[in-house]
Amino acid sequence: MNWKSSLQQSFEKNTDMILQKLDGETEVSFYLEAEESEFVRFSKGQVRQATAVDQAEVNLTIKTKTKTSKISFPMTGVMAEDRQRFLLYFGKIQKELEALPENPFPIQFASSGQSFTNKEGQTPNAEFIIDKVKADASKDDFVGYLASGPIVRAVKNSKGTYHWYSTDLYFVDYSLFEGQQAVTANVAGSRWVEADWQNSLSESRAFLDQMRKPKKVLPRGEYKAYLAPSAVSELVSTASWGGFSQHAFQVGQCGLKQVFDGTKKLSSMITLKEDFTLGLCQPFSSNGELAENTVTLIHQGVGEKLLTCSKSAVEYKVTSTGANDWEHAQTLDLAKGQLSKEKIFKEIGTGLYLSNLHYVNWSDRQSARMTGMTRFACFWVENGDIVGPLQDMRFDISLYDLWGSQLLALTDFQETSVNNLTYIKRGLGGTRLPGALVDGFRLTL
Amino acid sequence: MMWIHKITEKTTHRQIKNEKLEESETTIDRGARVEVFENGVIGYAGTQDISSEGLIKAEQKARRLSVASQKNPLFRFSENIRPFAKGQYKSPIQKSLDSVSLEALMSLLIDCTKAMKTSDEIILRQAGVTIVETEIHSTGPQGHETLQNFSVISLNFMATAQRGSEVQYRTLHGRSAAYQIGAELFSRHRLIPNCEMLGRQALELLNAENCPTDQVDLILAPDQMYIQIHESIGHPLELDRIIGDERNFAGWSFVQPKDFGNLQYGSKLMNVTFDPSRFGELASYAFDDSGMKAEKQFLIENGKLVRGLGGLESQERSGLPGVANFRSSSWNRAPIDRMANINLEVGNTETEEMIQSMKKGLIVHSNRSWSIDDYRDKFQFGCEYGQWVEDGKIKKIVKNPNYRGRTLEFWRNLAYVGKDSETFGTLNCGKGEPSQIIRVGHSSPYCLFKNIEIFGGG
Repeated sequence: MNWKSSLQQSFEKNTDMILQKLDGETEVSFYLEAEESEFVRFSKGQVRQATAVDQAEVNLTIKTKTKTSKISFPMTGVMAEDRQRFLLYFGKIQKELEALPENPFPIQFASSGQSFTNKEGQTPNAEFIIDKVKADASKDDFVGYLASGPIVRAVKNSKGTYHWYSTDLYFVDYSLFEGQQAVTANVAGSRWVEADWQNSLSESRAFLDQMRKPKKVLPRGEYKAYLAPSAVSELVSTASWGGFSQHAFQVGQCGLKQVFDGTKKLSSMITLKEDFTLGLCQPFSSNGELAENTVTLIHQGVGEKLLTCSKSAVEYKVTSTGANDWEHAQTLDLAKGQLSKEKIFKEIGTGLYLSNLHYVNWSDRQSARMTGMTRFACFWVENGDIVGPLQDMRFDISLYDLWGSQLLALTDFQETSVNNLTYIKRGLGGTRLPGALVDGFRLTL
Repeated sequence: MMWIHKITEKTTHRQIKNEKLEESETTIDRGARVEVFENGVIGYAGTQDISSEGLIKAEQKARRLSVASQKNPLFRFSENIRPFAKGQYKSPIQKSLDSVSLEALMSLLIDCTKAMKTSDEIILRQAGVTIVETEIHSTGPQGHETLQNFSVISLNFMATAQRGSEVQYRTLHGRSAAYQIGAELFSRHRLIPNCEMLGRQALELLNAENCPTDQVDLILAPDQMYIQIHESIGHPLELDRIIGDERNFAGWSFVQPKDFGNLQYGSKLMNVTFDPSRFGELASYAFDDSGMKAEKQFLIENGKLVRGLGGLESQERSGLPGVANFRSSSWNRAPIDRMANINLEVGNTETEEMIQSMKKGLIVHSNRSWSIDDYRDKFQFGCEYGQWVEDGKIKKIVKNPNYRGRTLEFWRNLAYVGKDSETFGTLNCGKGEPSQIIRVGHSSPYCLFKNIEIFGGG
């Protein structure tokens, strides 16, 4: 029996065992996050470190009419061992519940039926990528890593809900360097496609060629700029931390508060959705609630819906959208516009071509201001031609302006990128975004 | 050769919001990292099945990865990178964590949020405690064995004030109040006055003017110094960054190998140490994950760069002097060069003297925004609370204080270093591929920097 099957069998049997022990007063929900991963890290086209990880964590929420508590613990896929762990930690959390104060906003676990999704693939292992990089990138200064293998999310609760989502995924997130000049790229999927890999390397090398020209040092000021989808992604990903959250909105910490309270309107080109139909992540929350297929956050520049988890729904007496507990976006889609790829440089005219941004953070949430840096393949363009790579610059700009009066066009194509975060565990989700042409992009240092 | 690191960690998080329970969550993590060293290359495997069958499987995976990596290794290491070690470490605790009941802790946190309510305009009052208890048991060849037990507490207190559309908040030290400590931290007579202060200062910010745009003398309080040190000294001195491992993610460094022993990093008042022995600081320990004994070392002495932050692997690869900082976040990640306790040593100026020296200037407290480039040069920080100084006296409070600058120029403008140090830390320093978060500590006194660009919000 493989890792995934053992895990599934142990999860089902042991959650059933606990469910059978419940009295009428107590409800429980189990949320499983698991992966069987191989990571291979490269520098200078050679292997720095290779790590294999099997991990599975069960998040158990227990509640009575007035009290709620949570405990998370590891499971192994070994039935007998896991049985002991389920019993041990269920006992502990039951006992702890007695000592806790009442929960003022008790949520209801969802009764949302059952579903089973298993996206089978064939992901590359460590040996494969080590050979591949040696064969195809040994002459490049290749730095980055492979993360590969199955990922599982599942939820089961005492209301009869059971959803299982497993997917085989990999990504190679890498950069090519030449001295201090660099380009970055990501190849991802559920099975290796040789052409994608070769095309990615070729495109990266072509970009790197453009960076051999002398570096352009710019003074501070405001510039016309094209932000490629990967640069837009940095802004959107930062915005999703508190920018679309019901809770953050209610306590005055929403980075796009004025869009959602109706005092500011963004450009009518901005239609932003949380879109689970992209198939990038599981469509259910940790308590079993099914997310709405699409949640329109901003429609033609007007704030429409906030991401709302079941806890916020109870506390603020609004409707849940099935968001995760943190209410950050997992699978964002920004509608495309009309700017074609061929016209990008012509439309920039004289200005900036920004492939990537780095270390973006809110600098003032109250005015939707973000700061960050240009990074990797960013260029100075004059009269529609690349003059040379840009010396990295800091920007500090309000999204109200950037996505408002300063937005000139969105591209007529979008790029899908998968979540490549691997803090503690591998993430799921991603974005589908166009590029954006803007005016007045403010460089400050 | 093989090493096994068994790691058990219990994290409990309790949070009260407006005198009611907001969150109660416990996370138990337990697993082992098996490391197999063959022909100069280590393969790693992490498992949560720590039975002998589970460890055998992990060993097989680690060996397989070592063999695969040997086909194209970045470096073949000597056995010197894994010194023999035997010993123990325990966080300095005066009062056991078990000595405070859950009921008593919740009652204290409820009273903390009550204390923040200095006005009806304080709309949100949060008091949260995260307690982490970690045990790392490492075994290896020829009786190599270390056992390290950590007790960590992080406080997350926040008062938010609102008037109309204006919202301002104060947190306890910008959420950097994190220490190796026991239940003695839960002292009602220390915490309650702090919470009252947060409520008062959040209200002050509602009434305050926006920070002006100017170029002035700037004093950083220790709870802002901690992140200034972290981002513009700690990260650029990591040897694995300097030799290129992090270029795809966290970034490179403006520091070059030839800079060690030569670069005047800051003014002569600048003395920075790696100090894993400091009492109660978040990243104190006795051995790093390679088994290297952790000892205090100067990184910057009288402003000159003398040593980097790199463990034995980076030291062997680069030939540069380093420290015992080869650490992993847990059983499921391979160790890399990490910061630990990076401290600015005290100077000889009273804070009051610094203020008196200022014709026009700003004092900033508690970080709320941070960003720096991938070479660790151009930074921008925002703080929660500013005090505007004119003619040597604090004249008023300003809201949304921000400043920006470039690392070497900034540290060379260090003009005064205070006499008394304060210690802070964070549980969440991020780095690495795959990514890791780790605990770091920073101690610093108040410091004054000349001629810094400041600006406000909006």
